[in-house]
Amino acid sequence: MAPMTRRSILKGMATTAGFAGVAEFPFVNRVALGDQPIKLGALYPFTGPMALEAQEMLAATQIAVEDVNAGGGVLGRKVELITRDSEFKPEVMKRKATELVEVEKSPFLVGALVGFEGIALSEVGCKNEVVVGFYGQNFLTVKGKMCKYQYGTNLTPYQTAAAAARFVHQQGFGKKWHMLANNYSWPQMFERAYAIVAKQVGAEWTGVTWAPLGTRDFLPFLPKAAAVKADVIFVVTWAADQVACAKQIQEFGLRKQTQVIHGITELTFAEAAGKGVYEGTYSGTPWYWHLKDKYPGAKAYYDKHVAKRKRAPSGYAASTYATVRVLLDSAKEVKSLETEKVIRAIEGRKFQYLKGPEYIRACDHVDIQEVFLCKGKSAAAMKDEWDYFDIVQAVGGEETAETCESEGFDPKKRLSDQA
Amino acid sequence: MLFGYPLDVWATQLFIGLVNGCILILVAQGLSIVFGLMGIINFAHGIFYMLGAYAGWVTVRATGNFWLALVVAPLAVAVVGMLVEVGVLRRIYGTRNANFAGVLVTYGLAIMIPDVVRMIFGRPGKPFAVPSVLTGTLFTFGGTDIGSYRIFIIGVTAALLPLLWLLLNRTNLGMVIRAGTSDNLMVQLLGINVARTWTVTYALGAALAALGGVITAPLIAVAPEMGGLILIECFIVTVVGGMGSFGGPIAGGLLIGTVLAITGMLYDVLADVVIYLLMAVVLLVRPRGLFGQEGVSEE
Repeated sequence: MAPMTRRSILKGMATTAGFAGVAEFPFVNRVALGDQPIKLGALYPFTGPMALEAQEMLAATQIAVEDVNAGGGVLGRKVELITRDSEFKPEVMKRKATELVEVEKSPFLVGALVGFEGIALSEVGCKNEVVVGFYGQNFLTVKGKMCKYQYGTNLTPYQTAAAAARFVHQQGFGKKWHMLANNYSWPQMFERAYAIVAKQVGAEWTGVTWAPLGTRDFLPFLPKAAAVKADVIFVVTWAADQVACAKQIQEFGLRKQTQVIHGITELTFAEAAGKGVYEGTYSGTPWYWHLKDKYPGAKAYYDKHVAKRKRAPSGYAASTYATVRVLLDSAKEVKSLETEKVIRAIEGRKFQYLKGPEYIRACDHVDIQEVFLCKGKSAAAMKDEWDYFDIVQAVGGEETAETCESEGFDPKKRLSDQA
Repeated sequence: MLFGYPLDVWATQLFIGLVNGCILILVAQGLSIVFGLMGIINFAHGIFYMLGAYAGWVTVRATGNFWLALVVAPLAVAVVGMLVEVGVLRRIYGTRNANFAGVLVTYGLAIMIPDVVRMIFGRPGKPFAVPSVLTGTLFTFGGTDIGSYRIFIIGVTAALLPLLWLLLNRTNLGMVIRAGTSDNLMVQLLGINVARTWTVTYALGAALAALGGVITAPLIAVAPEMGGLILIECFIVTVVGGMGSFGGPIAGGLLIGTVLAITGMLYDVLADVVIYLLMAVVLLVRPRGLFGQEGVSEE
């Protein structure tokens, strides 16, 4: 071996520095990483009472990723879905979300069907400074609670409630309003919105009949709600509680006494309740599969979902699709996986995937969109096994969303500049 | 008017309390019998309630006959109960900390069996309609439709309780169960086949829970998770009424059902906690419960 001289050492150091410098060039990285997929960390409650919805959301995510990959992927790289079971527990959600970021090196996180999952996921996203996309209702849109890296394309509780309240007012169902709900924070957000809109349109808000969370029998609470003699009763329940409540409302004959409006519903709840249980009641939803007859994007998604799952897609599945598409399309647009760049691309983003035009409002990351009011069909009127509702009206836009000011945000600034 | 509500609304709420109480009585009787004889706090009891609902759904789906489901579901779940007792619980009897082990084992079953149900039946809830002959309103009271099905539930409970009383008080099996509740060791020393008695007792408890499940299935969501809340309520019913007694679950069920109904009307926010408050008061004032036997459950 030739002796080491000062010249040879300097040559070696220069060569090493040269390679290192070249490796920093984006095109070199891209060539080197070209075969490596971009990981998308996604969490679903596969275990627990929301397992069916989890499978729906998984299918929607898979379709979204397939659509993006079919269009060339992101940064010329395929997107690879990495899933974890959140087990419907916040501590598991946190642990597995952290694992997706720290071990799997996923630059983004998507998930969270319900509130406590959202809080857990948002915490991980904020701590690790990764963009977090919500599947479920976007309810953290309050200054001090919201992480600036978080967004969602599902409705906020306020939007859902305000849309139904405005629909009731437009339809002339009556001026005396009441609410029946499970007693926890999510329906309490609906209560606030109903009361605000009632005041705006001159309706009388008579308050709420609360039932314990998880109650399987609402019958003890229905006479009290009925005794108010309201023109409209908004019923805010979810999952098994809603199935039981809908059945008992039918049994109790409440629909004969007042107009029943379910705050929000899902196709899976109507299936579990049975044909005709929702007959004559109205329900809010971010999306319903009948939209396939109106929007080509909805038709394409519907066909893919049915092929994958052998069933019509749920509203939350559609929101999941939009959430994932917004994220990946934004990263594609700015040609970057960096959190700050991607979230700024999401802020103000306009898009149209499965329904009418929407956009993510920059000041609070709320998706300004249509809310659909659907009417339940009788068993005889159902054309097929998924045909539980008809879309009656779309209520949408800024009029149903809470203002940024009332949430504590500056409407003139991006959320990423003020949170 | 009473506390701001018309008397007919009060009457409706009391009726609702009676109906809900009947459901609790049916399910809690099984829990009380099992604890009274075997000393097992059976966390799997809610699972039998859920399995009863699913067995009923399968029967109705296969035959279209709800009345057949009322017979098949309890029998099928009784067999499951026998298998659990023989295959799982019998292995812990006489061991150190058998009571604690019983809690753990039955709790483990309560976690495992819903997952098995999900694997077999899938995740979505199952639609279960009220049989057509029992749909509709029997009469209207104070503006409230009193459905035929709720009257049916009261009728089933009223018919079943005397039969259960006869079983416990006029049959050899019942005599052994009552004797074992008082002094299990003595029953064994008298040469009675306690093992078989325990198997039959556990199966009886499971069957009663299953009957409760199939009867309530048309009114609620039939899903693997449905056993959780009923189990908590049944524990409270048996604690309030008195474990190991026949009258205890009846008194406890009617009291809890009525208290929930009236609280739901008067102060709905308290409905979440009122039954726990009631249980706490009973435990402080009369730890063995309203009709409990002295020495059975005080420790």
